Amino acid sequence: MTPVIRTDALTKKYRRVFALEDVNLEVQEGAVYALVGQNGAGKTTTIKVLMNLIPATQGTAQVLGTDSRKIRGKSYTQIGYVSENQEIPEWMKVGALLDYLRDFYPTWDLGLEQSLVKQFDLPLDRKIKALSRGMKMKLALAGALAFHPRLIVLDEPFGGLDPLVRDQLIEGLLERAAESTVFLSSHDLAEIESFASHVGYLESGKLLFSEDMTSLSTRFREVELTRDSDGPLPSPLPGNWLQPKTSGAIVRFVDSRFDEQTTPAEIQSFFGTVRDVQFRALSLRAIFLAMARKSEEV
Amino acid sequence: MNQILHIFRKDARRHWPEIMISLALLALFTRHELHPWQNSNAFSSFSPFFFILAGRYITPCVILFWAFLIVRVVQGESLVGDRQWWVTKPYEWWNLLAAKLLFIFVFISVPLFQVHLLLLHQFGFPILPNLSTLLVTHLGLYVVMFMPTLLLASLTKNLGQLLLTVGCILLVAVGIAWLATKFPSSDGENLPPIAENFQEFLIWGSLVAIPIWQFARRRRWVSVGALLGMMAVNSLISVVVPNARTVEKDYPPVEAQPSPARIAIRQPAEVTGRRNANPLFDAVPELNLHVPITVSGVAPGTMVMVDVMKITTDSPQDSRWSYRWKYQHVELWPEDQLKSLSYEVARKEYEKVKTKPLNLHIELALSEYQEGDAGILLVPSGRFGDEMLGICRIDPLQSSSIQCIKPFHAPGLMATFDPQEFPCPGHRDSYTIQEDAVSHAWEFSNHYSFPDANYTPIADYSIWFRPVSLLTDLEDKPQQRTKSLILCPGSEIRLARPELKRQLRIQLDLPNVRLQDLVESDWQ
Repeated sequence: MTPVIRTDALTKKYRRVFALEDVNLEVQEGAVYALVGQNGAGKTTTIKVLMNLIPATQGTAQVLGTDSRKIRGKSYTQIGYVSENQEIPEWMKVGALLDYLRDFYPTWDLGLEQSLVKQFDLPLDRKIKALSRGMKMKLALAGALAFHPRLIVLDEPFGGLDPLVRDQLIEGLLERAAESTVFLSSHDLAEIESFASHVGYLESGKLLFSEDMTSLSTRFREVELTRDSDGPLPSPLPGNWLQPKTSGAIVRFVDSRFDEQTTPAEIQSFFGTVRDVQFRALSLRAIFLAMARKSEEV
Repeated sequence: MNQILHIFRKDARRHWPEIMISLALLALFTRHELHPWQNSNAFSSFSPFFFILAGRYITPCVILFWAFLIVRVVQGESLVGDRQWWVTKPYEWWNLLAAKLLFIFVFISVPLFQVHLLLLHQFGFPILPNLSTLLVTHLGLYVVMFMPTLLLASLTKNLGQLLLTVGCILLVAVGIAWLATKFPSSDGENLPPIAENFQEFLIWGSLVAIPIWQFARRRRWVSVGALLGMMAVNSLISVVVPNARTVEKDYPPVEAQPSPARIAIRQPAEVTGRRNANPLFDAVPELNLHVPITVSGVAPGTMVMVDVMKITTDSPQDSRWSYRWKYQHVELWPEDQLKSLSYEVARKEYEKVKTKPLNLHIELALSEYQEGDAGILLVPSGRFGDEMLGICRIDPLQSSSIQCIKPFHAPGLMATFDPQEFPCPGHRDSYTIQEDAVSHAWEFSNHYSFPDANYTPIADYSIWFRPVSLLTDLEDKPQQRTKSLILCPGSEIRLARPELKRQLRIQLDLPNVRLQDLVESDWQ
């Protein structure tokens, strides 16, 4: 199956600084792919290159089977794009904007538009410039969903929104996610965890991992064990054991390649006899923090 | 097409207040253009003050407001940056460009075209024979005004950026003009035609191609680079391509043929005494040398025009100030006896040699015009129509002049009036001339090549009869009878089309002269 998004060695340089470096990722049809990373990691740059808003320095990207450099005009009849930084025409009224958008899309669904307006509680007669930030995002999302796009691209859609609006947006998105592929960037790891099927982690322009959520949550485990005696940690520890800490005889670390079969044996080979070994699942936020701290240490 | 109309409708809805203001300004402009003679005499008319004031500034106001409107419409879908909402919507760039051009066409071009038709109709000029010129004029407006504005709007995000860009362009233009003065080009000499044509192609081609590229790709810096590149190439052509020796080529030396006029230089009076300090005079970086000449032998029915002039000197080390041909446009009529030619020099160079006696060699490039299709016009009272002149009347405020309007361009003409044969009641403020002297008027056809972008199809011009200059003018108080130069109904004017007979070059010498004696200033 052709991936909806595919990048090959995608690189973007601003003078000497790499905003993206050799990024290879694939997003399969039907996925809800969350691109996460710290500020300045390159999430927005990735999306802008994919949407042909800025050119890549090297490498290629394909979106819906089209070279991203050719994404323009008609291509957007299949892509719903929402960004927190987008400059919506604020002089328009909400209803006028939706009316205006309608004629651009052959697949615009008036019924869906009305249902989104109702669901998001959008005031049709109000000027956009009078709307709150949350309302503007809801309007942008309504405009991006009402034509049944094959691909929904969201750049930091939840940034700075209050929890109620965030929930409304996610709810609206999830109701339509089944018919579309969703590609979003966000810091809001807690919310993403609840609905993302795949996640990619960008750090300083490099994609450190890109995989589905199930495999990610399976391979990351917080390990806690008690040794027979105090003492320093053996060195070196395996590279996939992140953030090792000791407190007396107790040792804690995050294993980024946890395997039920091999990890206990590996622990025994490093620490000898141990007691009370516990493997705890990690939240996406905890995984993200562990990865971020590891890269800071490097 | 649907998308074009869709975007157009949105723009029209958004900008209706500006459209209304634009149409109101156009209405004022129309009112102003419908009364061309009232405009020139505005403060003497009985128009309300508002209309007088509006009339004076209406054309620049309309032009500026159109530019503002175009900028607003284009920047409504800004082509700069990557945060615009519309760039991730299914806009086709050519539809967007077409919608913007359609907006300009519907709300600027069409109303202006209607105004132009109205003006032609109101003044009684036929529409059909003038239609093709009118269309070319509008095409010229698109290329000369609308496309550059569209280009600037497409390269900037908002009005502030646009004003800054215009300021930068002006600075660059001033810089280029300053640099151009450092190279030995000349007023009267041009680039070879092929280089000039290439420059024109480059300018007009860029004004069309760059906005199209910018709409298609939205790569601002590439577009700006292309624009700067075009300006640089144009400047380079002006500097690198050697100027054609146009004057030498077009004006052969007089030796081979008789001169159309006997021209001699009058030795200027020696200036003695100290000059009064004049801060204004001393501040300007250039000053004018005035070379008095005596004229005779211009054949009846002809006029000799001093087109350009060049001054050189024997002393090579002192000749840096004097190697250029400079425009003159001084008319020599059969009755003229005394004229003055003016030659601009750099003060710095002048100061070095002003007191040294120099031998000046003065070259004049002359064009001899003879009357063609000559005829007599009996000036009627009030407004009158004439095939050659258009619609005219005697200027009520300046009775030595006839005011005329004509579609698009003033005609080239030679006019002669002898007030002695047709005396008119005097006017205290009118010009006086010698009793036996006729007076002449000359109108050069101001028709330039494409694109000729005019905001009005009505050319407003005056046939202004000026007294010929006589040697007796030098006398303090010429003791002779004079008469007033006044036109009145019944006056007969000889009108003719100027036909270029020949062009040639003559050389005159002015030995042992100090440049300071050629400078007019306030001497004690």
